[in-house]
Amino acid sequence: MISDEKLMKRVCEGDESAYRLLVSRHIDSIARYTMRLLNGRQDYEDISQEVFLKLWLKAKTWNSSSAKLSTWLHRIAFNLCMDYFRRPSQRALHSELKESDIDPAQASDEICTDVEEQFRQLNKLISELPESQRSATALVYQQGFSNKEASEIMSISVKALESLLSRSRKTLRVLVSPESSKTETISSFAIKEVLYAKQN
Amino acid sequence: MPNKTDGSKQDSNMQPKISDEQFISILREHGTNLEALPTALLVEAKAYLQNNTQGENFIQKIRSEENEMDKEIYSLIKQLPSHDFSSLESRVLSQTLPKRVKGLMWVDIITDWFFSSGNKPNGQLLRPSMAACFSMVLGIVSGSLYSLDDPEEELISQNLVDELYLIGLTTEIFPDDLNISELELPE
Repeated sequence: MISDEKLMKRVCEGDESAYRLLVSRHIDSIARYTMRLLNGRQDYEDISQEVFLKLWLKAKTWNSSSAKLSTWLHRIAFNLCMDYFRRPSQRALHSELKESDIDPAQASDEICTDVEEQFRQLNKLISELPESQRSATALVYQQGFSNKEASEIMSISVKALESLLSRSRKTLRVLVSPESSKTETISSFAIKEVLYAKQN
Repeated sequence: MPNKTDGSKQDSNMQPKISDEQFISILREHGTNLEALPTALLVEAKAYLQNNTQGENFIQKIRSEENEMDKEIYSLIKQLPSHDFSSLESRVLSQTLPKRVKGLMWVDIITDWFFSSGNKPNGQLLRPSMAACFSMVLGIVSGSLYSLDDPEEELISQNLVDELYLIGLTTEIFPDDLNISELELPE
């Protein structure tokens, strides 16, 4: 298999066949990531397309010694998604996100097995995470990047990324801990009680 | 007025106001990293730990519970059904690729050099400041070596000054040549 580096050299020389190979190799990963970040909205297709257009136009700016090609592509995708969220029209849409937007394919299934239901809930929980936590979760747990790589993609420190992951894990634990809703009520009550006692 | 000794004594003998259940609830709610607890709860938790040997056991137990849950979450995320992106792939492959303009690529490379220096905050500041210093030094050096004045113009103006000086030295003025009568002299 030809390495990404060799293909990128050919892309720099204007070789379209090398570009096609790279697209086939990375499209799934980039599309999965943008789809997750945009919560399944169809715009993820436009953004994925733009990522590969940038690959073609800016191939020479990629430095193989500083980042893997997949890291570089994910970074482009992350920046494009953040630009997308900054658009005022998208902000309004994002806040009105409906459950059906999360994964249209799964939401349309009327008969759900336990596993499917768990996946649906997981998708819902991930979609409700703030953008930065969602991105960190997708990069590390779904895309398989190391914490360092994910922090480079998101242009944050490793510590900040770990903090994002820790907060997202806390939210997602609800899914695998059925008693959590009950526990949460008890704990919230307990904390209030402690704080009340402290005040008096 | 309570003195310092009394205060420290009070701290070391601080009685916990929370029960085992409440301590566990706090850990479940805020996580097992005690340093991340809100200040009021941290004081309560520390007081509890000072007086209860069981406290550390609870922390260990809940931490292992959290790890188990996290493992389950990872495996669930990994198992999430994959989407079929073949239509997107054909869409990307069928798009007409724009021709790359060579000049623009240089602009891109320079811009990238300036602003994409990874995560190092020093690099992000250093490169533009280096470029600014370089252009300033270049300006000072070139300014001291070269003049923007036209050398030919400078020569002409110098010749004019010399000529006027020579005229001033050589020309004699004879009072008879002047038509003084026409001048109105004060009485």
